Amino acid sequence: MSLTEPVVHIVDDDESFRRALARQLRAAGHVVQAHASAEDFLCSPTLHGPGCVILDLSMPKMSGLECQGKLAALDDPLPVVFLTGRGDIPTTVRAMRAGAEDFLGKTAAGPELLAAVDRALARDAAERRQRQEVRARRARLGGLSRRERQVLALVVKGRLNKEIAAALGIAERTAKFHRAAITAKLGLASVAELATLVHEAGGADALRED
Amino acid sequence: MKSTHPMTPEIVIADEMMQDWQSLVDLVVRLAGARVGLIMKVCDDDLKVLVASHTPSNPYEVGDREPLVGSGLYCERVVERQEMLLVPDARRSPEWSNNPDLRHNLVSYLGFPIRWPDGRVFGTLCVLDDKENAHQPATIELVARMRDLIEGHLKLEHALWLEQQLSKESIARRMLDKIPVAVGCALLGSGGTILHVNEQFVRQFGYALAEIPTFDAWVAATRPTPLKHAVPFVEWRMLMRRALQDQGRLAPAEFRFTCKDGGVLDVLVHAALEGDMLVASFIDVTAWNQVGESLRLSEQRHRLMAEHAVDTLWTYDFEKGLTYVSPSIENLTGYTPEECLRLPIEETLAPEAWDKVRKLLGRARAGFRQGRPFRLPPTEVLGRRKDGATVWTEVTASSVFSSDGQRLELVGVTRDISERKRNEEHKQRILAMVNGSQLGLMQEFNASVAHELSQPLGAILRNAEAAAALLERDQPDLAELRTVIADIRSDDRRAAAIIGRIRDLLARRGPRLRPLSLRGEVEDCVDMVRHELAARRIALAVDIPPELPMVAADRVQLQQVLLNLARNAMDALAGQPEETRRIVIAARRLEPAMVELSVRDSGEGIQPEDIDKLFEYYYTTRPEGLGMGLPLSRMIAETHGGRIDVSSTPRQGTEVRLTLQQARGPVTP
Repeated sequence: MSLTEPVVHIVDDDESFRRALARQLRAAGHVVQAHASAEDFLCSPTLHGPGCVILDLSMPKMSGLECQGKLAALDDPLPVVFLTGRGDIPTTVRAMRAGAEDFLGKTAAGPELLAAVDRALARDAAERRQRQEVRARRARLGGLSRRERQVLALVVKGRLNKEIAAALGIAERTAKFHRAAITAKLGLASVAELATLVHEAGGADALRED
Repeated sequence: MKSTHPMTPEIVIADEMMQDWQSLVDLVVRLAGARVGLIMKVCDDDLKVLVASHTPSNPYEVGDREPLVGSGLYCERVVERQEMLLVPDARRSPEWSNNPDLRHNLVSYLGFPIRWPDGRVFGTLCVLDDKENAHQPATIELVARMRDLIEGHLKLEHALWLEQQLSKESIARRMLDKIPVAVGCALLGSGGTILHVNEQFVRQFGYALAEIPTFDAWVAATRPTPLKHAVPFVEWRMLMRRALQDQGRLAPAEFRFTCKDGGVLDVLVHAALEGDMLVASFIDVTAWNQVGESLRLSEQRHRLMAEHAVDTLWTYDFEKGLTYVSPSIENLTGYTPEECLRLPIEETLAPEAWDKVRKLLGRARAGFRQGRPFRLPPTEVLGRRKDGATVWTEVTASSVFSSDGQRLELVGVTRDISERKRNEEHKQRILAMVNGSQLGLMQEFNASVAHELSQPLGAILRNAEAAAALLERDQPDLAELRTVIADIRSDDRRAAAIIGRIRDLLARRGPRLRPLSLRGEVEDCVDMVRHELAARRIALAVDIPPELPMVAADRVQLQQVLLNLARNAMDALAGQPEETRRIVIAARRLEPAMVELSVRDSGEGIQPEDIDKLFEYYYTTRPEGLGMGLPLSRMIAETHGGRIDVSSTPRQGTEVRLTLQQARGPVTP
């Protein structure tokens, strides 16, 4: 896990506002990177985080929502706080539905704005951690033996040890043994968690690889 | 020899009297010691047994008849000679050898004639025997006296009958005289004697019987002319006579008579012929005819009105449907009145209207049943034309009762309101368009205003908060703080500029009045359209005296109005030949405190009725600003305390006059 300082990105086409906002965030102690357009932002080397992004909704060329859509497609998408000069409800609803962390007016009070940024950063950290864990688990799948993977495949289908033993032509005790090994290696015991892990790893196919 | 007088009917003998006669005959026979006693009556050409004695072996019965003439009866001789006859023994004389009585062995006869009081023969009283009988003189006397008694009875009967007749006659006569219908009778024949006229006749025509003794005299005096026939009276008289003789009566006919006092009467004549006698009644129908005539006139008048009215008048009977529809229905629906009357009412209504109309008719009918009148206030009904197109109409109706109170009719007016509807719809559409576009515009506008302003305002807030945070540091970066303040100032100016622009755009807000020089403002406006004037080859003349007082106006709004007027003037010249394209802008003082600017174009002009339309609808097609047009210009003028007027002479041009208030107070250039 990297220990990079989280970066607060600002994406706004209005120079004056961009400068002022950056100023305020820096004064609050954040590391800030300001971009004049969504295209510029998407080329940023620190695009993949950690951090968060404050997006202006209405910009010429690529709009804030469009940009967020592109972000969401990434492996480690940055949380988004939308800022807008417009106040209409339909836009708000669309933005929130798209998974924004928050949606504020450009003239929102400082504390509110800073709080939203903090929440976004916290969310980013949490999600990052979680993704890291999942990746780790997936890697651990790779550490399973062939037989263990076979057993796991049947476990996630909801089969009992007896059935698994019969299906694989092994003794029930052997099956139980394999199951314990799986639990130890993956750090997960419940069928549901195992199934999720397997599913996230690519499903039953991932287990068939040799 | 006729035994019945044509004028007197048969008198019927009362039963009581017959009984008396029966006893009389029985008595006579016994006293005479004879076999048969009879009372014979002459009936038409026969002798009839009226009374027969109740003696054994009386061969005769009541009702037996023998022909009167040529039968050889004893009674025949008596009736013929009207004197007593005594035949002691018929066997002794050959003249009685054919007597039918001999069959019954009745050989002797004693008979007397019985006469009516007026001398006519009634019949005989006789006594017959089957043996020779010369009768004692006392017997003969007795029978004669009996005969007298019978004649006495007849006298009584006759007197009673006569009295009855007279009394009936007098009733009839009274009736005839008092009846309030003129009646008269006359004998047909040359001249025609008038037998009788009743009191009403005399009253009606003014002539007493003595003055008009004959039919001809009466005709000459009253000069009747047949109404409704073009035939002269003389000819008509012949036809009348023939008809009377053929059929015995005449069909009622109307004549016009001249009365003695010169007045003229319309009379309905009925007549019948009985033998030679003509009886006629004369009913005065003058009043009827007058009423009929005035009704006819009134009907004609109403019909004329209905036919010439633009709206369609109609009457509708619940049983029969439409009973009348005025000719204008053809304009309205394309159906002729005749076609309409034949069609079911649904054909002239759009399907959408059927339900509504059915309900209305139901209400009318229900009202009729409850004796309530029905009034339909003006109601919109969608009609259908012959070609299938729909037409909006307005229907008004009232219920009327037929004269016998049994039938209900609806009387109504239907008016074509398609024009009105079109105007309404047009207005609605325009308003919707205006509102919609304005609303949309406003929404867009609001959103973009909010967005635009939020940039500088947001920046200002952010900067201020950043500055506050920076100041919290132990060693505040003063250079940075100065930059922040500078930024804030700049953003404030930016915001102010935006707000100013917004104000300018929103012309509807209250004007910010300034003293302005019209001359200068017009010059500015002309500058803006100079190139367009040149392109359209329009000659412009500006005539504004320099000493014209300043006007109080909002510069931006005034510019917009001037631009609008200029553009309208330019558009008015579009179709004109180039050499005639002229616009003149002039201004003058208008006492006491106004200034009038006039923009005149040499275009085609506007019809007087169209001038109002200019201000009525949002006719603009140009998307400039928020849609400035004449209505808005007028509104701006009015909020300035001024006005806009338009006058136009067709084929000469249009003049638009803008009146504004003179600026008061100190003048600042």
